[in-house]
Amino acid sequence: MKNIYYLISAIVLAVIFGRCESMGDICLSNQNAAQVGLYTAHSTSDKDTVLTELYVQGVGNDSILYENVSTSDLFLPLAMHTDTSAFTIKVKTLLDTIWFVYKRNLDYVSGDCGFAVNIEIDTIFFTGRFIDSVAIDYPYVKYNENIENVKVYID
Amino acid sequence: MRTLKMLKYILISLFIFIFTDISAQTVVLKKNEVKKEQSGISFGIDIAPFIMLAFQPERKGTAFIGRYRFKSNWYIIGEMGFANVNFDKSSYAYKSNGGFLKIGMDYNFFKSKKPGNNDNITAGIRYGIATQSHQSPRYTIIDDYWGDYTGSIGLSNVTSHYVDLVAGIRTEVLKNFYMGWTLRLKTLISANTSNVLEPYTIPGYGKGDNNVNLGFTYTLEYAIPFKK
Repeated sequence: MKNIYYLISAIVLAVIFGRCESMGDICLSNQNAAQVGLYTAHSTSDKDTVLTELYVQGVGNDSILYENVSTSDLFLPLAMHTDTSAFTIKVKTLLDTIWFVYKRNLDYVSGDCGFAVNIEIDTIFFTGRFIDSVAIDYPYVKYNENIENVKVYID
Repeated sequence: MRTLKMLKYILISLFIFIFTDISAQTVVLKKNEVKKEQSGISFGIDIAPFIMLAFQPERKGTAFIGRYRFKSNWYIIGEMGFANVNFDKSSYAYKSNGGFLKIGMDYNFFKSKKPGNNDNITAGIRYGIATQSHQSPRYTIIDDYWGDYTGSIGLSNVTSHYVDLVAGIRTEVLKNFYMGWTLRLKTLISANTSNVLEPYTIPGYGKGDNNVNLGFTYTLEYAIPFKK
């Protein structure tokens, strides 16, 4: 009788361990996007501004990221194949282009979620039709971080 | 949270077993009965990896145990085993081959009055060292906008060190044949990797992402019958 109890308790424990160990982590999207805040250039302190009739598209990509929206922040996915990503930002009839130059580092996230590419923004170039200036606030674009990277000041 | 839930089930199972085990042994030792001495050396196999295959088919392994009783309630324990991991999921493919060696001691707390009862309730510690060679033949990072990013990471070696705190029960089911299970709290000391790839599992330790793992062994042992 004791041996039966023994066997049952061992099997129960094995099942518990097996089920618990096979439960995986919850994985986020491994795609990294620079978080861009839009601010007015006509203020001594940072005040966000909403752009209307806004279109955003990656240069060399047919897909439109933002189409006729009103927003004060943008999420711009940075390409993992190259060290530069460019985007056209159109507001009504005005069009600017912004280039992000960055370093890429492959990073191991976890056994369940695999890998991500961490990015360190180095330099930003832009044309100045309605963009007054830009500031890199936090250069690192990392998995599972939600921090504004770049401030774009609108003229 | 998951660990707490697991601990709760383990404690309940342990309590039920100990209660039934002790209640089954309320036997009074008769005057002329002689308590049989347990043999000094035993060898066994851990069949938990075979049970775990049902839940984790990507992980294959086997482990062996050797036990030497050097004092009435003290055992020197040696364990060794092999582990193989192979999977290919959407985010990455992974392969690992390796082995481990553990050495440590157990103390037996269980003193039965029943003649010939060689059952044990033990607690102990193990020091473990594991080596493995692993690689990721493919990884894919999904990028819906610019296109997926793929690559591979070549073969590299990892050496890991860890400590197991062990509690277990062992019973003689047939003459000189024992069944035993242990619960283990495993703490990783170090795992030296030479590139970005971290071990998915460490042989004898479990998931490489965790600094602490809970483990389980279920051993079948044979005690070599000789008198000390």
